[in-house]
Amino acid sequence: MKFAAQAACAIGWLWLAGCTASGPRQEAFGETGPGQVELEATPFFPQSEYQCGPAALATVLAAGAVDVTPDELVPEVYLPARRGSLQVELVAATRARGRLPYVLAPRDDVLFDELAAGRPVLVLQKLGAGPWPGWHYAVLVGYDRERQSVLLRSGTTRRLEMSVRRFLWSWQRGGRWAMLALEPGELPAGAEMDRYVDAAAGLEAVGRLDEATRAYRSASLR
Amino acid sequence: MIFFRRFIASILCMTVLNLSSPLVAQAGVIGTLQAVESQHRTADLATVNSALARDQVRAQLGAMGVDATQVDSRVAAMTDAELRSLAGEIENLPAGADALAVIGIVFLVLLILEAVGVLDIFKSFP
Repeated sequence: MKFAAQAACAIGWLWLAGCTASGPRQEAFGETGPGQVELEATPFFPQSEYQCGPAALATVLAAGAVDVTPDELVPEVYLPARRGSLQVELVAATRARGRLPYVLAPRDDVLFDELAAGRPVLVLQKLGAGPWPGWHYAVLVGYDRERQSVLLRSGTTRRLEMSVRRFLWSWQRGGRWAMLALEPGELPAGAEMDRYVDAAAGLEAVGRLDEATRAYRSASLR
Repeated sequence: MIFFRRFIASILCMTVLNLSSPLVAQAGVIGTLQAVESQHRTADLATVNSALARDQVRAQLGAMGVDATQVDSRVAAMTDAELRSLAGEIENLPAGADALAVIGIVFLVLLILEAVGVLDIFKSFP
């Protein structure tokens, strides 16, 4: 009986904590910027089982005019024994395709700045808990201040609308990891130059010298 | 007699105190060759560690079902730092798979247990 009471209190507290932890979400969208963004032109590749990694990566690469399909990415990022894809391999596969993998700073507003600049963002979410952590890659393609929601290309859903609070919670639980696949030389919205130069150095380290040069040149002109 | 004992005791006390002398830092000028060699050593260690990590990741990817023809190109697309952080951690890192729809009380209970730290034991759950 006592345990049940304690469990009920714990559940109640957590539920309330979930309510209060958000507060007004206006500031997550940033002070300035459009009230609504939807990158409708972003391609959509419905994922097959366990293949959200290839599908999500193909989406952001194709949005940047790289000719690729999820099937082509499976042998580059899918790990059969883990039945999924690792973040570092998504970064590596982006490099192998001649794009600059820019991992964003782990802050909420950064996501929406990139969307406002017209770039879809590849995100990692933790949708589950415990023995089923529910790691999932999706592509952020829009947001709506008034509806307090975000839009994702996720799984087999072309246009998934999710409350911004729930999305940011799943993103935070996943470590706030998000990535852009930039054209080498193209700078992100809130370009943090040390991050950008690190990414350019990564291209150089794996032998993509032409792309690295273009990236370094852009960085130096800033 | 008592005076003698006290005398010996105080001599011994002073002796023990003197045994613990303060540490003296040694500083001096080292030759250029020594400085350069120590830098080489650091660089050599990094090279060796990276080579080890590269081999380790290559083996682990193969063991996890990656096709032998693909392993080399996947490893070649990663930087040394990435390989070093990956080696040995492939089992534990997040592997994005599916859009999970875990709902309801089960999810909430799991979440509480995870927050409290009880669910660390499930790390190796298949």
